[in-house]
Amino acid sequence: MRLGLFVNDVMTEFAAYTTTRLALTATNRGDEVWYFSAPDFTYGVDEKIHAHGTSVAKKKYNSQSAYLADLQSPQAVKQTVVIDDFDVLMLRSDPSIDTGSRVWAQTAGISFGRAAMRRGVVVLNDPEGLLKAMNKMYFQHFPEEVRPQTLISRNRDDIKSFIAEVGGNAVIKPLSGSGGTGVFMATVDDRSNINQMIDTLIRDGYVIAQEYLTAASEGDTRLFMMNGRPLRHRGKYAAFRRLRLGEDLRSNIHAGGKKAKAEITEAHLRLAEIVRPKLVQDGMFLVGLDIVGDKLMEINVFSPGGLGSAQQFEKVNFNDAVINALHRKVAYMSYYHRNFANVEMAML
Amino acid sequence: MRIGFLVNDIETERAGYTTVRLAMTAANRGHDVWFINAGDFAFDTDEKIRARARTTSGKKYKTTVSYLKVLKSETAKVERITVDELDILMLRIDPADETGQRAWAKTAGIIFGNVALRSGVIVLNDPTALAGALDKMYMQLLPQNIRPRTLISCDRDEIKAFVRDQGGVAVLKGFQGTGSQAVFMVTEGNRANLNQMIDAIVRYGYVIAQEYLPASERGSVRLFLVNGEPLRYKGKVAAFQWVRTGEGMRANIHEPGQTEAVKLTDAHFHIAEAVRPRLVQDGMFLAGLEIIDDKLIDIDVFSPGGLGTAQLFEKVNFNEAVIHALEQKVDYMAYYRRRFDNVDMATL
Repeated sequence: MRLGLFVNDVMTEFAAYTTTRLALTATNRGDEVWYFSAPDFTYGVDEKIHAHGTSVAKKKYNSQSAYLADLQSPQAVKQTVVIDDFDVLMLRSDPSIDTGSRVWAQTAGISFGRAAMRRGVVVLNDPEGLLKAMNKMYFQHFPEEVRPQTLISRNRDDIKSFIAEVGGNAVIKPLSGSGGTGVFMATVDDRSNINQMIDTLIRDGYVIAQEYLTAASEGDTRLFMMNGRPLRHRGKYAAFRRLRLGEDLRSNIHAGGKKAKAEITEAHLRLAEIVRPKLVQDGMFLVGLDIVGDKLMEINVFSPGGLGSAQQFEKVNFNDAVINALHRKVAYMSYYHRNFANVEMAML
Repeated sequence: MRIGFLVNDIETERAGYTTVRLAMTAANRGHDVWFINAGDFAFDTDEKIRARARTTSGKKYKTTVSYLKVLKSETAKVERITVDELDILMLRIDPADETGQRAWAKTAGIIFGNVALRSGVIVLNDPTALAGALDKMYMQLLPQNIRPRTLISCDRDEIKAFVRDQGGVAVLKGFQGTGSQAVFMVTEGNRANLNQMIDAIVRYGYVIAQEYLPASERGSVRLFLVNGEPLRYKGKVAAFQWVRTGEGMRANIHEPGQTEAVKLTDAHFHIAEAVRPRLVQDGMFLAGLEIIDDKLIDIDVFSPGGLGTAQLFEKVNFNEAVIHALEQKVDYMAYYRRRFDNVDMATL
């Protein structure tokens, strides 16, 4: 398999990233793996997508850190490749970190991915699905019963009356962008700052106000979905728990949460079942669900991370399962001579 | 019918704008017409989309000047309407006008329109397709033989090689359509500045390098498409010629300036025919083609303007034809009790 991994910037990747784990697994299994950073693509006059790729020199690596060190060293293999000849292009950049003068990079993978998939490259997740998920309204398209109560508005008074309605505790965050930036917690004890918090967010666009789920104080569960189903390998679910540390309401890893083994319950599996149709419709091959109680807090479709944490607690190598799934898609594509809709192949 | 026009901001609308002409035509035909600003939507807790919207009192207007004056005045009716109850929502935001701190407004219509169509509101142009047209890759998804020779890259050497291949004459512009508005024409005379020109654009993302079309000296043709076909009314086609004036460097694009009547040729209709399948597939109800010679140099699917100019030269009121087309869609939707795919309805 010829596998392309599109990331924000090859030089800012970390050894522990899920992307690195997937790359290492594929390389060790004999696949040809190339990394691309946001500015590396070219739409050529020959109507093909070319790219300045980076790859590693050796065939086997014992650790992610050795793999990444080679990839980021001056000895890394640099070559211009033709994306149209690839089997799979995985879009693994996180748009939320490309802000300011790099805002153009947020959609580079989507735009070039759309052009590449016309040539029979399997692009994952489906770039047109990702386009729909560029803002948090995507979440509102999932059934109401799996989501916390929500208001989206730019009107300060409406937001304040919503917060009062849900009992004074609410999470407020910007509609555009993902990740933990600009997330505020409005509490009954701290009414004095509420105007400032809302105004700060309104200045940059629409605001999401969400009821605070009391269960969130115990942290959340990340559950990976692959091909629209919970990712299961050797009888184990790819999942783990993130515990809240102290006062920070952002339970995600970047904010420094502590992790633990997850118990996957009927409620979790029911949530996964409810989100499945929409994920299938949008070609979302690999997804991370963030679950609190019986509600979904967030769906990460861009660059879900934490497969290593799941492996640490469940003692199985989930990267193998993901690479197996990719190999299967490549085999399907060869049977059909690469004539197959990307959005459907994404979930097969 | 109940129709909403989403605009950047009602305060910046002008009497000559196509949006205002369409709105007045609809109002004079007895329809319920509402204007909505980019920031005036809300996603309410009952899962409905609402908007603070403006309308006039229901009398007839002779000129768009008097119509717009009333609409902007204090006598206009301002109400919080339920967008889900509209028959049609026209997305008429020009994303290129929304930069810096208002960048969020580029996609407000796409985001909220995507939710409204779940309730059977016909949203035009289809919001998902508009999301895919925010950068210039949309042009590259149209057939190759109607486009100028094009390279898209961040790589300085590749761009220089392209310019060399083109005999030292080429056009450089931004890929994002937003970021940098700069358009440069590289000639033998200013090759010394090529590095600076590339720098000015690459700072904001990918660069489009395009073959220079000598016919651009004479200006370009705007041709309107409705439902994927040239807009024809009372035997006339909605089109006109932009005449280039002065020594502007803005080759391969139109300059606001003088206009005149155009005699359409087979080449123009061939281009319209070539783009039709894609526009229909995407649900692009109203589009403005920008044609130089036998090449399509741009396609405006967001807020194509100039219907008044076409009327000036062709002496027929094309606004009526557009409103007819909308009335027909509302009839269709009534037969099917609002159960119809938005993309299909957009070009029926």
